[in-house]
Order: sequence, then structure tokens, then C-alpha cells
Amino acid sequence: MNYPSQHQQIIKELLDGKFILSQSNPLYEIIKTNIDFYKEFFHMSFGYDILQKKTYFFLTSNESNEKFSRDITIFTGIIAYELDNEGKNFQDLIRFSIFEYEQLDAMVRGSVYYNVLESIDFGDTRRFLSRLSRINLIEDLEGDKFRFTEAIDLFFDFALTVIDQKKEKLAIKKA
Amino acid sequence: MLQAEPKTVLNFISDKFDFMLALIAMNKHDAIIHDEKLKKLCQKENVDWRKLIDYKIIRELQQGDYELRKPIEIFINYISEDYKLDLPENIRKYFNSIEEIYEKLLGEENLQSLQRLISGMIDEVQHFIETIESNTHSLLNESKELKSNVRKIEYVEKIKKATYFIDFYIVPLNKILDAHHTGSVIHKLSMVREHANKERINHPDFGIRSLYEKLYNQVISANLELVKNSKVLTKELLPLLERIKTESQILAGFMEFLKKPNFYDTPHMLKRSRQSTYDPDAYFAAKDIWDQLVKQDEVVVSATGEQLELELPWVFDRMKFKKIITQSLPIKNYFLWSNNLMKHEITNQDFDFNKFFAMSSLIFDEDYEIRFDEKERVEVKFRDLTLDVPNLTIDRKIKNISKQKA
Repeated sequence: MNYPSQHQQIIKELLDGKFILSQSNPLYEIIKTNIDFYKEFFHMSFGYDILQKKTYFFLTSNESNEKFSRDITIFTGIIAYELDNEGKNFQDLIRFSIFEYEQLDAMVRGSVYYNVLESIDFGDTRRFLSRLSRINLIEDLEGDKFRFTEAIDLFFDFALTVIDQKKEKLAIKKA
Repeated sequence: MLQAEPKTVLNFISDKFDFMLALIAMNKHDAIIHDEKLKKLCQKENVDWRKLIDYKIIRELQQGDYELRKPIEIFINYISEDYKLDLPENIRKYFNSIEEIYEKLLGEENLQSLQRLISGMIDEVQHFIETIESNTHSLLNESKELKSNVRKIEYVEKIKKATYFIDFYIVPLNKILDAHHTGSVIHKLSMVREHANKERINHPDFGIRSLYEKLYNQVISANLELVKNSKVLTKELLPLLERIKTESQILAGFMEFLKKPNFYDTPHMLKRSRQSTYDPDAYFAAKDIWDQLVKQDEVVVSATGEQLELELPWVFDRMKFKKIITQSLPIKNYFLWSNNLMKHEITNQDFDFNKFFAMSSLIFDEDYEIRFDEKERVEVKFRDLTLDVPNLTIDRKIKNISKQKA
């Protein structure tokens, strides 16, 4: 049987929980071309599903790494809130601008939502960001700087589902 | 009427918590609980309304309606972090009470009265801080509701509501917390702190000094809390009008999520269940196990007839040997005596080098006196070595009691 090129690398990165990004990772095109094969491969071999988005691929499992996912959502939510508080367009800034570690750390620690982070035992911002870097959710840049990758859309999409659920709940209450 | 047990009341509140929240909402909405509405709610939730009176949850009014009792309302609002906003006048009254107690403190000399005044001041400061905290929390929640606008309030309505909050609550609260304003509670508290600081050191009575110490510490932590709340007012609440100009569904979703972070299912991320067959410590872990299996010392048991003769390793029992020495005092030629002791009386073993040092360590005890003549030496022979040592005499030390007493 012929496997797609760089098959081993694709398996390794996806099983490491990494986002395979369209802009920076040549593996993205290989997966895209062979998406049916990989869907079946991961499903039959591990029981995992491959999430296909316009800008990234990502593996999900039924048994989720819930804590990490929740931590990322809280973290992203706080940054969005604080940037908006400064009168900025948070969505564009998170998607396209460059952040400095120190600046972000101060922003998170000065937030009115910092108690939420404390309650989840968040710990050190730098260590948390290095975990995000390992799964390609942020890209480390020179001089203690980084930028969020397009994979952050996963959490923006999630925020939209939350608001939809809330609206549905309110509609039911009204009825 | 028999008074209900506190535990029974708490169990009722816990079992019927949603009912209690509905009751509070009803009381908040109408400022009273109408008889008809109460009975309807009780019927729906299967609650005997008479229990509410027995458990001192509601009070019957003259005209046949009811009102929620304040301590119950405060307790439930407190645990569900849903505080009612106080009027700025209700907060400002703390300025008067703190000032009044402070003035009395300055002139009071009677210890009992002073004790009561300081305790009263401690209570008042605590109430004040809790009021400020709950009000800031409430205003913050209201501002977040306006910002996320999940209920889709019209823009004009939203601005009206924000203006009302700013004019009626936020600006007056900010004035109360303004440290530069001499009429602010913060300013008054700084005077209380100075006085408490002086008196906790200088007051002649120990009990009063302790109370002032407590007051001093409380005012310091109160000040920190007030600065924190003041920052929230300046950063989050005063610019409210500016902040609610824009709306974002994503931000509203994040804010809704941050209200209850454990309520929603966050995006599923891969949870790896495979185990690595090799890790960096595997070599050392395996080596440990292997060493234990392979390099284990061989144990040989020689049996003669039915008797087993085992040579156990020698363990120096310090206490045991010290007791023998004490009983044998005075001892002449200590090393010869030790040699005999080992060989014949105690262990039936040779006096080897290890035993020599172990026995030597005992004579430096402060209970013993060591005497020796430099000219008298003895030889102690071991298997490969002979030591030339002084001939020691060990005796009980006579302590000079009269000298100690002097």
C-alpha cells in the first residue's frame, strides 16, 4: 500500500495534539489532498476524528483534554475582554498583531477576571504560553514576542456557540 | 410556636434553593411578596407556605401580604453573589458613624467604654468594606450585562441605563472612595489608622493595645481592598458609556462563558491515551531493578544438625555499652578492659578496629573523667595493626556543685 508522503510526520504532529496550519505548514496540503484516507486512518486506528477547517487540521477525541481546553478558553476570553476594554478591536488584534510576553502577563494579571484564572490554578503565563506554542496555537517570535495563529478561531467559534446557547435559553424562558 | 432547629431551616433552604431564588426575585421585583403570588409559587414547587413563617424566612404584613426577612435575603444573595445595590446615601452613612466613633475614641478614658468603642469601630469598618465590595461587584455585573447585551436592548435604552448607573451609583461611589477628598470615608479611615497605630504601641493597658492592634491591621487591609475596588471603578465602570458603544457576539460569548467557566463544554482537544514505550528515565529505572536482582549479596546459612549458627553483623548499641561502663567505674586501662569485654563477656568477638573506635567514642561523655600518665602506654593489637595508646583510667566526674551555685 502506498502512503502519502511525509505520512510519519503527519501522524506524529497530529498525535502530539498540534494544529496543522495552512499558512505555515506544508503538511496541510498533503492532508487536504488525502483527507478521506486520514479520516479513516485515525478513526479506525485510534478512534480519533480529524477536524477539518479552512485554515487548519486538528485531531479530536471523545475523551477530551478538557482542562487544557478550558484554560485556553478562559485565557483567550480574558485577553479579548481586556483589549476591548482598551477600546481596541480585540478580534483583529488577536488574529494579526504581535504580543510581548510581559505586556500580556500584565494584562492578564490586572484583569477583573484574574480570579477566574486563579481558581483554575493557572500558574505562570510564560509556561502556559509555551504549552500553546507546542500545539501551534501561538508562534514564538524573536525578542520575547509571539503571535496567535489562525487556530485561535476554534475558540472564537466556541464563544459564538456559547452566546447562541444563551439566546436559546432566554427564548425558552420568555416562551 | 416551637422554634425550628437551625439545621432544619438550612436543610430546607438547601433542598428548595431554586424556590428560594424565585422568592427573592419576587420580593426584589415587587418590593413585597403578594399573598396570591406566594401561594401560587408554593403550590408549583410543592412547598408548605406556613413553613416559611415558622422558619423565619418571610414575615406577614398587616394587609395580608409578606416580605422576605433581611438576614435571609442577605445570606442567599451573598452565597449566590447576587448583591442588591445600595443607595450611595446608605454607603455614605458609614462616614458619619466612623467619624462619630473616632471622635469618641479620642476623648474616652474609661477602659470598658474604650473597649466597646474600638470593637464597634472594627465592626463598622468591616460592614463598610463588605458593602463596598458587594456594590462594586454588582455594578461590575450590571456593566458586563450591558456590554455583552445578550438580551438585545436597543442602543438608546442601553445608553440610558448606563447613564443612570454612572450618575446614580458609580460617580457617587467613586467620590466616597476618593482618598484626596477630605470628606471621603477613605480619608477618615486614614485618621483612624494613625490613631490606632499610635495607641497600639503607647496605650498603658494591654487589652486595649491588643484591640488597637486588631483595628490597625483591619484598617490596613480595608485600605488595600478599597484601592482595589477604586481601580475597578476607574478602569471598568467610569468609562462604561464609551465601552458599550461597540458590541461583539464573540466577546459576549466569552463574557457569558467567564461567568460560569465550568458550565459549558469547551472545544474537544485530543487526549492522548497511548503510552510511550521508552522514556528518558527508563534506563535508570531498569538498571535499579536489574541491580537488585543481580547484585544481591549471597546469604549462606550453614546448618549443623538441627541448629543454625548465624553470624549476625555487629551493631554498636551505644546505650548498652554506656550502661556497662557506668556500672564498672572506676575502670583502669580502659582499652584492655574493652578488649576483654568484647572477647569474653559480651559478644565473643574479636576487638577489631571498628569496635575500638566505637568504644573510644563513649569515654568523651561529660559524665566521665579521663586520667592518664603520659609515660604509661599500652599496645592494642589488631589483625594487621598495632596501636600505641595511653593507659586511660575512667572514673565518674565529680561536679563542683558549690561552684555552679555561685
